[in-house]
Amino acid sequence: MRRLLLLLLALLAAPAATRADSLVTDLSQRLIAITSSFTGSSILVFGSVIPEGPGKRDVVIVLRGPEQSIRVRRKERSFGIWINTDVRTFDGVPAFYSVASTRPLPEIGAEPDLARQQIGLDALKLRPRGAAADDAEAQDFRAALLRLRGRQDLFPAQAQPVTFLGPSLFKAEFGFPSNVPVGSYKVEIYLFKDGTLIGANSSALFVDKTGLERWIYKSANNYPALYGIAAIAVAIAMGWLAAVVFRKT
Amino acid sequence: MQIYLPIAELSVDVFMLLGIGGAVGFLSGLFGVGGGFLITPLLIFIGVPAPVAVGTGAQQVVASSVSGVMAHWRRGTVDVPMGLVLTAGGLVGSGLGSWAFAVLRKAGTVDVVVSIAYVIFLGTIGGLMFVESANALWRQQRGRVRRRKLHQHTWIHGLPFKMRFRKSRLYISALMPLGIGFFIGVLSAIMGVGGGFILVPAMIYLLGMPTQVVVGTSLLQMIFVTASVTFLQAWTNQSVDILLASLLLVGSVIGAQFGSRVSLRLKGEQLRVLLSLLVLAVGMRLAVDLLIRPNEIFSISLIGGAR
Repeated sequence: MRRLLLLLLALLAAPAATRADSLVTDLSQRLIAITSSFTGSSILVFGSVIPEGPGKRDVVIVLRGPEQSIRVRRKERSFGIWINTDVRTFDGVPAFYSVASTRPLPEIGAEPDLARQQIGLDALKLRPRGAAADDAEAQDFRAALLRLRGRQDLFPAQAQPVTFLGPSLFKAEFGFPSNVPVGSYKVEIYLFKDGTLIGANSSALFVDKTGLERWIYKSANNYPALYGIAAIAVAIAMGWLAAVVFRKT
Repeated sequence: MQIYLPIAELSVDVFMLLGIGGAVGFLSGLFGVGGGFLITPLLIFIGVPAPVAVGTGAQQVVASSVSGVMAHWRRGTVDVPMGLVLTAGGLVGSGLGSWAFAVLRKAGTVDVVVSIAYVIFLGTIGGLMFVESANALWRQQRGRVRRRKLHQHTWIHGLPFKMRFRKSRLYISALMPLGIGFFIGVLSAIMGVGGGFILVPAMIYLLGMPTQVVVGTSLLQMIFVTASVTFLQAWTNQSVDILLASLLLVGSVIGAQFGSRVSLRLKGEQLRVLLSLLVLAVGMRLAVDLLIRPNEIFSISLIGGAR
């Protein structure tokens, strides 16, 4: 929310006299359905820029998952065994975070804008709960968080390309791994002109389990006691069935 | 063929799950243990979050125990009163264990406590069994068969609340099986295993039950204890994946039948040596994990989710 307000302010502050580029964007799909055969998926983000006046245009697309709170623990050797000792809690960590851009982010060169909109892994504001600004160890934990999320394919480290098909049409493809978290995602499209933010758009994207997967997940969370009883019943029935089937052979 | 697991929240190969289930089922049919002590680490190894591996492992053991008890029931090798007394202790123990698991999970020390408990128990039980069974094999080869005393009187027999267990041919205090049941209940809740590999030796060596009755009776009590662990895990942690358990089960019930066939061709001592080696190997692997510096000293966990 605060990000949006800042963005609005930034846009209002821009000189109103020059006519703004028109930016139109859309997604290939609004819902990613996780079925029992789900092994990952991808969406296409596309749009067009109609430039007003000269200047180098850059498009940056950010895909953010729902925010989560995450504990990061560090193991240390104590009494001869490796055991978790230190812990830091990070709030507001996106469950999934991926960036695509026409050029590598440093080349676009709008550092204050990138920082303000939290574009790029380096700009993500991740600070442990209750940590002082000069907490040196917090940086280690932040780096570990980014590294581990990257290893789960949830924070792809490499910025993927946004490609222009002709003067105004652009597209970018985002891939999701099979362990993509469910929830509501936000796709943010930023337009830069010569390193200045001049326009933005955003769309919502939902990732949800469907069919049997959804039913099992919802049952487990909404009716835990019944689910537990059902789990036992399934186990007893299958054990019984196996005993009966194999007695005959 | 990949399938998405709704609670574990990852996609795995169906044939790999059937294979894991089959291999563990084979071993459990071979040795008469539930196999949970193998399935939980294997699930963690393929990327299933630890709490889900524990809850789902318990559900899997319920099914294999039901299947095993039915086979033993037909042969008349189930001591029902003994099983019920063990169960009574086990239920109280698993309630306490489940609570401890939730507390440990909040503190973030679950992995370490589970690993240490595993290492200690696998190491001790494996070591003792290996020495005992290797000795027995050695004696057999030299032609000296030692006769075990039918009955040894110790302080245990002075305890109150004596009960008669006909199938086991025992007249002992109910406190003994109650205590053993309680202890194993705590372990199974924390470790997600039926405790068969601890219970079987305890019944043979501590209670002095005849070996034929031990396996069937331990499986009977395992049904109740693991069922209650399954329920409590589902209720408090939402960490039981029915789909995952079902796939493992299909493999394990088939594997168990092959295992029990092989088991009939081997001598009791040979089986015990093999089981003790297996138990020691699993314990050793976990010990190495605790003692060697890990590649990644950081770990992350989600707050408030199913994981």
